[in-house]
Amino acid sequence: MTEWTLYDYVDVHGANQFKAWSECLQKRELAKLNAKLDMLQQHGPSLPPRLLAGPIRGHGHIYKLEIRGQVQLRPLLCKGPIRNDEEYSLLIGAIEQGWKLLPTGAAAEAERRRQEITTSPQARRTLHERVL
Amino acid sequence: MNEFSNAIRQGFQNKDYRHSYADEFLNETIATQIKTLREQHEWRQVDLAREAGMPQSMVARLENVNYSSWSINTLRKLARAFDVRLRVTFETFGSIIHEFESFSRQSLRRDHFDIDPVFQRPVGPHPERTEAKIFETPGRFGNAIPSAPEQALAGRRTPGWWGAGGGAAPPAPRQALAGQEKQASRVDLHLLGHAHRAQGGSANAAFRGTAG
Repeated sequence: MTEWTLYDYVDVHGANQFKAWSECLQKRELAKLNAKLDMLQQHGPSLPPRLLAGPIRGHGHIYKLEIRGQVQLRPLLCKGPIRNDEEYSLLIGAIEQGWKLLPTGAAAEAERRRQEITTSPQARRTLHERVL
Repeated sequence: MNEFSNAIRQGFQNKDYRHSYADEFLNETIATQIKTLREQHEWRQVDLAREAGMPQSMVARLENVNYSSWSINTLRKLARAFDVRLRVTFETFGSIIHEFESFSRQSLRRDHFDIDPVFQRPVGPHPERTEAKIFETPGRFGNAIPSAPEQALAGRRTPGWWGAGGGAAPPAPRQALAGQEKQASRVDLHLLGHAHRAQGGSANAAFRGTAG
């Protein structure tokens, strides 16, 4: 079994945006997020059923993790984008309210970030930093 | 994987964190095992639904790692459909590391009763003697390597396993609960591949996971 590699998006200033979002979560939400990410890293999308939802309509490369609870976390991610069979990139933290993703335009922003990573993977992503 | 172990040890120091993580892992485990067992039977969702007496849409809901409203009665129906037994235990948090590391399609598969190696052996008045005879008879194995069920039988020749009445249940794989009453625990539900009659009574109470 091959483990998948998880990356976090890094902005133009070198800040890990996904880590910053994770650090704002309550312990319960954070634990659920980490449990999902652990499963994704260990098994990819093939074994646990419906681990990944998507692709999101209108954004063919963007998927979301569903983390249910008092706050409906919906971190957006993509396969690759460099090695599609070995890695995922965590692009933006989002939540879902009334069937809509917040912040507004999160999926479009995720796509923009995916393209940034495709252009310069060394500068625009880093290995996933787990928040505890 | 040592990195994972360290992260679990650190994160689990917080009570909210460890219970939420364990709840999520429980949901992932049950949903994945239901799908794995269905595929082991080469059933479509509609086939499982028919066997378990529930709509196909419910099977689809159960085969989802995000589902969390499990009930014992529903799991019992699935266990009966798969012809395996359902086991519900409370576990220490430390055991989650090994469970996660060993989590795989293979580890979640269970043989249904008809191919359960324990029940493939002849049942007689002197099972130990009968068993010894089986393993000495060339016609059974020939000169070849024993089949998988036969190897499994050989490995299960634990003294006392058949018990005085010949009907004792196999020993539990872990005696995890003994002497650990004071430790914080989580709940695990497993579909196991050895026949076991439901105990009934208070076990009918539904178990609810975290609300979705």
